Amino acid sequence: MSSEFVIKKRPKESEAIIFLGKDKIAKIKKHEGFTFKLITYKDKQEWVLSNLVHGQRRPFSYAVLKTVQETQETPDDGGKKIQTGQEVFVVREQLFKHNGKFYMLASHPEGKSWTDYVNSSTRYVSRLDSFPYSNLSDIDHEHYKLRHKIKRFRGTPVGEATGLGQDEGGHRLRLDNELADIGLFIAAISYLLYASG
Amino acid sequence: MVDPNRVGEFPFRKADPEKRKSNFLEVQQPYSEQEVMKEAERCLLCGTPVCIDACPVLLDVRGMNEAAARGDFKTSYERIRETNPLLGVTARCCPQLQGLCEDACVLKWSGQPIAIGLIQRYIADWEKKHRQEPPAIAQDTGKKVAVIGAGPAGLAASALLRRYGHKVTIFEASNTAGGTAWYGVPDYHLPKEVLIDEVEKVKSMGVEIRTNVTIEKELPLSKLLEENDAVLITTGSRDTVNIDIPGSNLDGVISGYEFLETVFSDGVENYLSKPKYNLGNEILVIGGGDTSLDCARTALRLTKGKANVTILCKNAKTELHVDPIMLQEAEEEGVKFKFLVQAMSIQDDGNGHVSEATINNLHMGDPDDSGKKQPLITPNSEIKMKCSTLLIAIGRGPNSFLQKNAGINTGKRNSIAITDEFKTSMKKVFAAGDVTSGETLIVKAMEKGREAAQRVHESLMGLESSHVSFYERYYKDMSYDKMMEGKEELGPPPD
Repeated sequence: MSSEFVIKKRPKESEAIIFLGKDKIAKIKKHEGFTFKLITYKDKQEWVLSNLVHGQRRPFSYAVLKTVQETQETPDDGGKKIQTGQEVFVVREQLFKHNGKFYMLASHPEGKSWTDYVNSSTRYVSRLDSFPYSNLSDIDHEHYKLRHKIKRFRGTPVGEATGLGQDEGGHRLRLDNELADIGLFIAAISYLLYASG
Repeated sequence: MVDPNRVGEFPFRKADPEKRKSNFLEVQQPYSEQEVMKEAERCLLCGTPVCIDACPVLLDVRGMNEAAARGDFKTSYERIRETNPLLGVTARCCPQLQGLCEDACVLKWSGQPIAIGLIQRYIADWEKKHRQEPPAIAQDTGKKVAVIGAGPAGLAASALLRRYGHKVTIFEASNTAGGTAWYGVPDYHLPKEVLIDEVEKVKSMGVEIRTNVTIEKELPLSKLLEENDAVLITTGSRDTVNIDIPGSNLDGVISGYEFLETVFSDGVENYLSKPKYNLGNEILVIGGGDTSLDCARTALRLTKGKANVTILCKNAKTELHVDPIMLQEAEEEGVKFKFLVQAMSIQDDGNGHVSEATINNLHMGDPDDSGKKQPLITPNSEIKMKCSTLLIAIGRGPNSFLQKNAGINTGKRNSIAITDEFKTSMKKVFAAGDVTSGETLIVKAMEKGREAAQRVHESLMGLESSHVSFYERYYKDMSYDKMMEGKEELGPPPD
């Protein structure tokens, strides 16, 4: 069993629509202070997506925050306000943890040759079964040796992404069932990180 | 699938393989001005510029392309030199398609990514013909920093420290600055005048480079500490990994790194006028990385393209972690490969010189505890190969000379142990780059050099508590909106 998401940029530059199968399920909107909003159509749930992860902005990272009403002054953002909230999901430097297991976006999975991987237009989501760390925060952006090694980990492919969001076919993400409950977040993040253009 | 021979909209031109395999002229040919503008025009100027996120030195690729598409090469240059003092070097040496900018480019989804390396190369070469003012330098701080090692990490660190207003002196053991980029990258890949020019630009910022000085040999580290407010060690990789099989001490068995250094350290023209090696016509190279390709292609050129050069790799072809463009170029030039093989012993010719190598086939075993499949020797698969020279390029560890002699704490493979702030066990001494980690890409060594320089600056100026990562800064200062309004931060780097 797997879920198939398609994310398409709308003519209005700052919005994209997420489809699950043929159903429109959510939209991504540009928000304030380098953040985005993810809003579901059915029950109007809202989250803020920010690359301010664990205290600092990081490449290939997004935190999904359940929005709350309060805002916080952040001098580091030039006085702009960014919305804060409860962190419900985090991708940090392409890695995320779900149900006690580590996964990696845009990883080189086991079973794919390096050459095919490098030249391919497909990006894989992999489960890192023998990942030797227990917390995402162990993988410090500025910790040289660890970060250097991260991309060498190869895991079991549990999803794959293709396509640019602004092309007709959109950005497509297939995820195995084990990621179904966070599929919407991964779809939005995959689009924003790799395919928004 | 991306065609590695056709990065960008236009296939890049290469010198004819039959001709180029007997000379050291640059293989890859540049884009024309028209091609650069058309290629840069393809850039989507993404709101989230993943090309920049994927660049270790956060090169402003989007800003470069935006200006280059308009033919404004001056602005393009000013945007990218901000974080990278070795633009021409990295444009040529970065494997952009392997986890770097071109790999991240969103256009990879729908065909060919932007040819970022070729655009960058054009901009760097344009500046050589249209000299620009050096970047702004902050007011003199009165602080002095000694940098040990003039390789990519040391040069990148020194340029940044100088921009902060510190007095910087680099101490280099060799007779020329550049480190691995000087003696480890063949001229057909990186013409040395490109590197020399960029080193000169670092010097023109006020960085002094003292060559032929080995710290702890000609000059003790303690002397540098007396005369400077901080010392940054960037001595790179040096200690080669040797192969331990019968016959490995025979004449004609040569470290690939030593081989490249001998050929290139005084300039290849000098080497050609007084060659040291008689390579013969049956050359084997053991290794599976970029250095083995460099050794094979250099050896081929030294024999005027006549020798049979074969690379023996432990991995399958599909698992080679080499730049696919370099691999293709080697194949075009006639370099042969044997994959999934291992040299077991080396035989001599009766006069102490190598004459033959015995190799076994390998096959992939079951995954081990880490989940990785390891190659295993296939029984009864032994074959013998004629061999006049055997070059060994199976890896290099950190240059251990200084830390061993100065008593600095070490980590794995004699690397210098550092904190997250790039501090060593010795007060006022910092370290960064390959000497702390082992061999990596030039641009990654530069990344670490810059990060360490930032930490040195913060330490000297009492700013440690207000540390902000380069990524954080870039994200705030180089937004799309600011770029389009021409409001990027292009002055001296902020504290």
